[in-house]
Parts: sequence; structure tokens; C-alpha cells
Amino acid sequence: MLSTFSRLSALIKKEFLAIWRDPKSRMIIIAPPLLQLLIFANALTMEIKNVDIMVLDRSKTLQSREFISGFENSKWFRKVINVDNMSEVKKDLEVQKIQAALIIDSDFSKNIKKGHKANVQIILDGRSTSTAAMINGYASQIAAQYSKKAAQKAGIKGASVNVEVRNWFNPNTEYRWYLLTSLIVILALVVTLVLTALSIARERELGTFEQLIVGPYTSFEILLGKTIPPLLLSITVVTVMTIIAITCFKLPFTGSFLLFVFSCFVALLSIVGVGLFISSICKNQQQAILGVFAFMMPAVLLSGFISPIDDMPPFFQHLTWLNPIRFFMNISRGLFLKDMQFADVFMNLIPLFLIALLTLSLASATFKRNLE
Amino acid sequence: MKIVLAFVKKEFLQIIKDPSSLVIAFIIPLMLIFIYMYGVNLDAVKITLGIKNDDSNPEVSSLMKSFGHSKYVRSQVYEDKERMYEDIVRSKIKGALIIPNDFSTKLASKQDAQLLLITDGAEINQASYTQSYVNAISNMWLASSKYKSFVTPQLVNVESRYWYNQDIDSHHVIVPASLAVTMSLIGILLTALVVAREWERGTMESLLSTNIKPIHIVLGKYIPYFVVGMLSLTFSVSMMVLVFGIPFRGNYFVLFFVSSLFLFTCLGIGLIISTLTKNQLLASMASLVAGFLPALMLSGMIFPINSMPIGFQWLTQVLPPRYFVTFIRSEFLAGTIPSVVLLNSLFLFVLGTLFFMLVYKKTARRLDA
Repeated sequence: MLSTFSRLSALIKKEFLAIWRDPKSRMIIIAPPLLQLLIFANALTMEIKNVDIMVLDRSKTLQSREFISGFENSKWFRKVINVDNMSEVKKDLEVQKIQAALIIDSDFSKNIKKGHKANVQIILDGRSTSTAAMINGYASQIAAQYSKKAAQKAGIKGASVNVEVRNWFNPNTEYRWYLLTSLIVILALVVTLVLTALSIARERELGTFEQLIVGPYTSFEILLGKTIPPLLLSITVVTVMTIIAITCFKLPFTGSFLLFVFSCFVALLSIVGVGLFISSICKNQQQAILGVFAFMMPAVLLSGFISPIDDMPPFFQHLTWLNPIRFFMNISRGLFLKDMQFADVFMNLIPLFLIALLTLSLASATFKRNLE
Repeated sequence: MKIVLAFVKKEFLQIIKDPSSLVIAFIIPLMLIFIYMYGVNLDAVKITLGIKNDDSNPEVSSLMKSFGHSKYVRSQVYEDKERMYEDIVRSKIKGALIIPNDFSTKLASKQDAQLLLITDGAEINQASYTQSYVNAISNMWLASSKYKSFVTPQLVNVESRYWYNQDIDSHHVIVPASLAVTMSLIGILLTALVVAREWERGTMESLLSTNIKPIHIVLGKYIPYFVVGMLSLTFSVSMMVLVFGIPFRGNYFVLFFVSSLFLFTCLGIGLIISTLTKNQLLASMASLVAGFLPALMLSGMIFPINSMPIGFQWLTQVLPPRYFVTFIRSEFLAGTIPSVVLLNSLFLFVLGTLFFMLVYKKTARRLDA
């Protein structure tokens, strides 16, 4: 009779080999998350840059030209194209050659010189809502700056409210910092979930699951065998991504590294649990991958990464309590950027731990049911 | 032709046998529409703002009220500055606004008055919303407060018009764009899995060793999943328009034509993946990487392509979702614009044909070998 330990290590070795058997599998598990981290971290931003705007200046005066130069000199606008008629605006906005158009009426300089209000119109492409809203904000800023200068010139003096902003934890508002702390979590989710969800389903499909069940293992041992290899692999992937984020992208790490490793362990365990649970209720790999998708899409979309959780309708807010990604992201953002303290990390670890416990025991119940 | 039909029939029987294919085609798209519609909000979001007022002037309390009444701000008044700071660290509030004790005296003496705003930069989108809300609300308050006669007039007033989407409701854009995700799901993921399973079980090899022409085998794989994809599209579009009230200003024929081209490219990618991996685990991983994540991240659906570094803008040009998302947003909101339709369908057609040829070549070569 083999000792429990060596039996278990044989099982773990077998499970590990099932994932790690040939260079092709290794490549496809390790390379994509890293490659995507590099691509997405470089490419994705919510900032709007390189805006091409068309200007229809019906005033054609010193004042209107000065106002337009505010757009030309700003960092957001790439091309400022002057046109003479509305039909050109319509034509180019329609095919998305330009993202916005500015229309200045002929009485612009007359009003400004008298110190009256002058209206300008900005037309935006509602097909890309966030871009449109952003450009609108830029235009208002430029208009406010110009107004101030023009008022000074016209000899109008007065007070205003200035909002002095300090962005804590990310003083230069680098979108990449936010993105990286979320991407590490999302990519870890994809790898871990695919590895675990397909594992039991694959054995069912190939018929080897019965062999495993009738073997000398207890259901807890089978669970360990199914949990440890993917957990180790995904912890490795997360570690490599973290190192890349810190070294290549200069992402600060302010919290405790030890706490981070521990949290990743718990968070990934909860994802492994979800994956194994999906796998345990599926007959074949196609069903399992469907389960992965049905879990992953809502988990990512409702994690707070794309839109904040406290802005969601109550139904979705309650649903996010079951979403490990939500808590994993809180911890990742907290420990990277905010020097989150143990007590706060712990509050996020509790739900992760409960999700892990629930899903893993559900998964192991399937082994037991099969045994009996 | 008869052989192709037989293949198609066999594939269909397989699809119907496993209900999960139908879940992929109908239930998941519905779930996605539901989440995009109600769970995701890319428009002005409501943020929680902490306020600490050091100015005892009664006029300033009307500023506090303005924050309380704004529909974009959930305001929370603090007495203790340190506690407010702690709540930022804990993400309980997204911004902390401090009204200094000289705020009203400065305004009364026609000087610029300062407000200090601290935002949670770790949540960058909300930080920028917080900043613009505070700016807008304080300026609006100023224009109606008793200091309004001292205020520098805002000489240039920007009127904004949003074409094609008057209320800039992002759901009208992102819900149609979610078709890119569901179609990649069927075209790439489902197809790659099914064919990878055939390779795993060896049925593909035995099929290739018969004297059936490779073109028939290839068509036999394309057609069934194409039909499933188009059925799913029809279902999704009718749900969007009829149930969820997404405006559709285009032409249904054009919509279906361009969508079928997109599906054609997706099927190509799915079949290439399955032929290369021949294993369901690897095929699903590769499909997620090559299909799902680009459709979500690099299609312009959420993250603007124009703001990407130029090299990555080129990368998006070889990925089909970009063309489809550009087209679908325009078709839904602005109606059929010939140049948008032609340009995007041309690219999709070229990519799709390229992939088809690759699939054909791969299948044909196996036969010779």
C-alpha cells in the first residue's frame, strides 16, 4: 500500500502532465496571457487623443481665429480642418473621418468685443458616445480658458471658483496603471478557468474519469489532484505578469508583497473552484467551455473594471457578491496602488475564501456521488 | 453537392444532440444583451463624494445643497478630515472635497476662490468624472449664488449637438456592438471546438482519408455553423430592437449581408485554430485569445482605436471585429451609409476569403500527405 503522500504526488504529477505534456500546450498556456498583457497594456486607453475636428468659421475674425487656436494648440486635437460649408461637415462626420465639428457664428467677435455671450456649436458623433462626451469636455475647457482671457481683455474683472485637484495613488492619472492592475486579474481568470473547467469534462469525454473514480483515491484526494497543478500554473503566470508590470511598465507596488502572494493564492483558488465546479456538472468539453464563457463574460463585465459597481442596478450589485473577480481586483488595485492594509485586504479575502469553499465542496461532492 | 448536404445534415444532427450549442447560439447572446443593457454604464456615472466644509458662511451651505441635489453625485458630509481621507483609501468615496474657510470671503472680495478636491486615482475613470462634476456643479452654483454679479462671465458658450444619438446613450452603441462578441463566440469558439473534437477522436482523419473532395469537407464545416450563426444573429437583433428598444435606423438586408461576411471570417479563424491545435483544450484557449478578447478589447467597442499607438492601430486592421463594430454602430444609429458599408464589407470579404483559402489549403494538404 502506497503512503497517502506518494499516491497523491503521483496523481498531481499525472494531472500536471495532462496540461503540460508538450511544447504546444505549454506555449498556448503561457504565451497568450503574457502577449496580451503586453498588447493591451500598450494599446488600450480611455483617454481620447488624436481627435480630428472640422471648423466652420462664419465669423472669420481675429477673435474667432484666436478661439480656434485654442483647439490647434491643445494636445487632444490632431488635425483642425477649416471648411466653408455645412455639407462638408456632414459628409466627413458621416464616414467618421472627423470626430467633431465646431461651428462659429458670424456674430461671434461682435459679441465678444462687447463682453456679451457668444454661442458656438460643437457637433459630435453620437456613434462613439465616450469619445463624444470626452471631446465635449475638452471643448468646454478650451472655451472657458478663452472666455477668461477675453474677459480680461474686455476689462471685465471678477471672481471664479477654481477646483484644485489632487489625484491620490495615481498623481499623473495614468490610465495604464488602472488597466494593468485589472488586466492581470482578467488574464489570470481566463487561464485558470480554461485549465480547470476542461479538466474533469475532458476525462468524462475520454472515459478516464471512471478509472479515476474507481481508483484508490478518496474524493478529497482527487480534488487536491485537480486543484494543485492548475493553481501552481496560474500563480506562476500571475507572478510573471506582475514582474512584467512592475519592470516594463513601471507600475508601482505600494503594499505588502507577501500579502499579495497570499491573496493571489486565495483568489486563484476561488477561480479554480469555480472552474472545477463548472467541469463537474458538464458532460463534455464543449459544455465546459460554454460554462466558462457564461461565467467569464459577466464576471469581467460586472467586476467594476468597465463600469463601477455602485452605479449598477441593485440586482447586479447583489450578483457581484458571487463574483471573485470583483474582490480580486479590489485587492490587486489596493496592493499595487493604494498600500491597502491587512484589515481591508482581509475583508476582500473573506468572500473569496467563501466562494472557494463553496465551489470546491460542490465539485468534490460530484466525485463522492460518482464513487457511491 | 449531395455530399455537402449529407455533411451539413450530419453536423446539424450533432448540433441538436448537444443542447449546449443552442445555449451558445441563443441563451448567451440574450444574457450578454441583458448585461450590456443594465449592468454596464459607460455614460456619466453616479459617484460618491465626501465633503468637508470649513466655511461657516450660510451662502456656502447652498453649495453643499447643490452637491446634494445633483443626480450625478451622492454626497456625504464629513466633520473629520482624517476620516474622509481614510474612506478614500477604503474606496468608500471616490472624491473628497474641501471647502476652505476663506472660500466665501474671497468670492465676496472678487477674488478667485479655491476648492480642494482629492480623487481616488486608482479608479481613474471615476476620478475624471468626479473632477468634471465638481467643476460643473460649483460653477453652476456660482452663477446663481449671491456672488453672481462678481463672477467673470463665461463669454463663450458651447452648445453641443450629438448627431445620430441625441441623448448620447451608450447602450444604443454597445448593445449592437455586443453582436461582435456573440458572433465570434459561434464562429470561432464553437466551430473550433467541434472540429477539434473530430481531430481528437480521429473522425476527421478518417474523413480525410476517403476520396471526398476537400472542398466538400470544408463547405460541410462552414455551412452548418454559418446557419447557426445567422439564426443567432436574427434572434439577437430582434431581441435588441423589439424587446430592449434599441433604435435601428439602417436596412436589415445590409445588416444581414455585412454580418454574414463577418461570420464568414470568424468561421475561417475557428477552423484554422482547430486544424492547428487538434485538441479541444488548446482550441478553446486559442479561440479566447484570437476571438473573444480582441472582439471585446481591440474592436473599438469600449476602447477607442484612434487613441491607440499607431502600431496597434495597424494590428486592429487585421482583426475582423474592428470592421464589424464600426459598421454595426453606424448601421444601427446613422442608417445605411454606402461608403461605411462598402469599405468595411470589403475588408471583411478580403479577410474572410484569405482565411477560407488557408482552411482549404490545410485540408487539401492533409489529403495528399
